[in-house]
Amino acid sequence: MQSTERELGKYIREERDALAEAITARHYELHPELATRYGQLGRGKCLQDANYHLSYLAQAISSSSPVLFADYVSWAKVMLSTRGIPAADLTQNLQCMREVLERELPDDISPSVCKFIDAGLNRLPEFPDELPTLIDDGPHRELAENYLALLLRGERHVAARLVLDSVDGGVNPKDVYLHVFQRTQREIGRLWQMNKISVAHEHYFTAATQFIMAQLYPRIFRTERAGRTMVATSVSGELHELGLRMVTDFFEMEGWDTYYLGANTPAASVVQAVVERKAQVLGISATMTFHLRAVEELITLARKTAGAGDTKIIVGGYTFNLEPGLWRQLGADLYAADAQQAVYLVNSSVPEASNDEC
Amino acid sequence: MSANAKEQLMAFAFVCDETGTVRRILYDGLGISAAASPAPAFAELVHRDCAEKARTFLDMARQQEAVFGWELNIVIGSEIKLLHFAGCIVDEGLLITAATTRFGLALMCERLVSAHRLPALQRILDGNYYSDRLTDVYNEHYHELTLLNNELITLQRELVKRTVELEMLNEEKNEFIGIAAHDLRNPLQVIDGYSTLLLREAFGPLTPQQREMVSAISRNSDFMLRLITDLLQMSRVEGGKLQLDLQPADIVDLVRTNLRLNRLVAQQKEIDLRFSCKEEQLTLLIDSYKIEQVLNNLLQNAIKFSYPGTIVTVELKRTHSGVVVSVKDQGQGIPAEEMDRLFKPFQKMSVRSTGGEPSTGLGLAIAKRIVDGHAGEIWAESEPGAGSTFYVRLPFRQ
Repeated sequence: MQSTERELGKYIREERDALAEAITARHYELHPELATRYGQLGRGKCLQDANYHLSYLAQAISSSSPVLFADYVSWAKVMLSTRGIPAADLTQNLQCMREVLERELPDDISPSVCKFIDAGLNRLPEFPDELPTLIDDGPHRELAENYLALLLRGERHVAARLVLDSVDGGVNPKDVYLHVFQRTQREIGRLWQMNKISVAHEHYFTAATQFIMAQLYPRIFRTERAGRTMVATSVSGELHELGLRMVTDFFEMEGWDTYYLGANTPAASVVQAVVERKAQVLGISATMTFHLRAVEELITLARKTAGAGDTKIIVGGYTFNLEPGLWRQLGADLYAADAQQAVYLVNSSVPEASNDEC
Repeated sequence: MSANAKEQLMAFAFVCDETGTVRRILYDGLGISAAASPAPAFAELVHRDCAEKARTFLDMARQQEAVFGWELNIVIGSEIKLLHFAGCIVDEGLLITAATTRFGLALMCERLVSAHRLPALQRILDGNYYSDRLTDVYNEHYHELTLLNNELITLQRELVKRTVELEMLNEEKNEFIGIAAHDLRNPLQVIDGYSTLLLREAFGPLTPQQREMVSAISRNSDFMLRLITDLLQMSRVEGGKLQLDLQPADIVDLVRTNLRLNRLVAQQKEIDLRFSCKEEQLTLLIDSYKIEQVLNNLLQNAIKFSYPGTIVTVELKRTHSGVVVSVKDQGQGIPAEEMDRLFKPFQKMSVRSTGGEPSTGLGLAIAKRIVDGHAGEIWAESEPGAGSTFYVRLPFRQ
C-alpha cells in the first residue's frame, strides 16, 4: 500500500464525524426540499449514511482499491432504492462528499481522493436497482429453496431435519455447506439488502444455520487425522463468520486439526494460538471492507513472532473476492474464494506431516 | 402531505371498521388498493403465515389505543412484502399504517399525526418508541446476541471435537483390550486344561500339598478365563459390536432352565431358590443365549451375596408392554451411595460375597448392555441389611 493513500485513509477515518456533518449540511443546503420530505429524522439518517460512505471510502483509499468503493456504492444503491430513497439522492450525497473533500484537502491531494469517489459516482447510473435471486440452477437447488423457505418461516427444527435427513440419505455434507448453507446465506444478505426481510430475520437465519451446522459436526468430525493443524479467526468485530466456519470445517473434514477462534480473539492471542498449536496454517476472514486494516495488523504481528513467522496465511471473505491482488498487498500467502478452493490451495502448498515422530 | 412527498414514501394508510374491513384509504404508495378487492379485510392483505400475528396486532391496537413497529408480511399481487406497521384508534374504527422500513413508518406516522388529530399515536411518537436511539439499541442487542450465539457455537464445535476424539480413543482402547484378551485366553486355556488333568491325577497321584497347589492354579486360571471372557465381551459391546440373534423364545422356559442350573450351587450354600410365575409360556423376540447370560448373572449374584438359610425368589410377570423378571434376595443389601455405580464396569463395592466367590466386576455392566440392546431396562432396589431385588424389563417386539 502506498503511504500517501494510507495517510489519506487515516485522515478520513479520524475526521469522519466532522466530514459527515459538512457533507450533510451541504446536501441540505443544495436540496432544502429534503427537510420537508424526510423531516428531522431524515437528516439524522443522511448523516449516518454519509458516515458509512466515508468509512468505506477510507478503507478503499487505504487499500488503493477504487473497486472496493465502487462495489459499496453499487450495494448502497440497491439498499437505499428498495427503501424508498431514490438513486438521485445517493448521487447528490456523493457529489457533496466529493465537494467537501475537495475543499478540505490540499489541491495536490484532493484529485487522488476524487478518483476513488468517481469510481463509484460515475458508474452509479449503470448499477442495478434490484438484484436477482442467488439461488439459481446450481446443484441441490430444491434443497436450498426448501431450506430457505423453512427458515424464513422460523421453522428451524424442520429445516434441521431436512438437512440431517438429506445427509443421512447420501448428500455429501460438503455439498450441503456449499450449495445450501453458503447459497442461502448469500440470498439472505440479498433479501435484507432488497428490504424484503428485517435485520431480525437475517440474524435469526444465520443463528439457525449455525445451529444446524453444529448438528452435522458429529457426522463430519470423524475423519482420519492428517497430523496438520490450522488456526482460524475472523478479525475483531466481524459478525459475518459463517464463511470462515465453513472453511475450517472443510479442513476438519480433510483430517486437519482445526482451532476456530471466532471473531473476538485479540490478535496477540491468535498468534499465541498459532505458536502453541504449531499451526501450519492461519486462516483469516474479512467480509467488511473496513476490517481490512485489522487483517493487515494481524498478519504483520504473525510475521514478526517467533514460531508463527513461517506459518502459511490464507485469507478470504467478500472483500478479497472484489479486489484480486488485495491479499498480496496485505501480506498473505494465499487467498481462496471458497472453502473448497482453500483446502485445495493449502493442501497443494503445505507439505504433509512426516511420520518421524511416530 | 404534499403530492411530492406522497410519491416518495413506500407506505400506505387506511381506516378500517370494527370488523377489520378497510373503509377508507388515506394514502397508498405501494399500490395495495389496485391489487386488492374493493373493500378488503385487513386479514386478506396479510400473508397467511402472519394471520395470527395480524389478529394480535389489531387486538393490541384496540386495547392500547396505539401500537408501533409491528412487522407483518403483506401480499401485493403475487409478491410478499415485509412491512412495518402502526395502528391507532380513530372515530371510525382503527387507523392502520405501514411502510417498507421502520424509518418510513415513523415518517408516515409523523405526517398522519400532523394531518389528523391522533393523540394516542402522538404519545407513542413523543415517547421516542421509534427513534434512532432505540433502533440503535435494537441493533446493539442483535449484535451482542449474534456474538453470543457465535461463541456458543464455537464452544459447541470444540465440545463435539473433544467428544469425537474421546470416542475414537475409547474405540482404540476397546480394540486393544479385545486383542489382548484374545491373546491371553489361549495360553490360559492350556493352563486350566492341564491343571484339571493334574487334579484328576491323570499323570499319577498327588500329595496333599501338590493337590492344594494345583487346586489354586486351577481356581485362579478358571477365574482369569472368566475375567478374560467378560473383558472380550465388554470390549465387543463397548465397541458397538453387540450382535443380537433375535429369535422367538419362551422366556418362562428360559428362567426355569436357569434356575435348574443354579440350584446345585444354591444348595451348597443352603440357599432356597424359588420361582413365581402365573404364565405357562411367554414368547419374546430375544437373543436367548444372551438373555440367559443376564439371568444367570443376576441369579449367581443373588446366591453369591446371600447368607445360608435365606431365600432367593425369582418372579416373572407379564405387563401390558412386555415381561418383568425380578430376582430378590435376603442378603446384605447395597448402600444407597453405591446404587448409581452398580451397572458400571470395574466398580469396587463394599458388599462382599458370603462364600468368598470372586467377581470380575463386569457382570452387571454386560447385563445392562445386553438388556439395553433388547430395548429393555434393568434396575435394582435395595435395603441394606434386608436384601436386594434386581429387575429386568423386556418388551414385546415385532
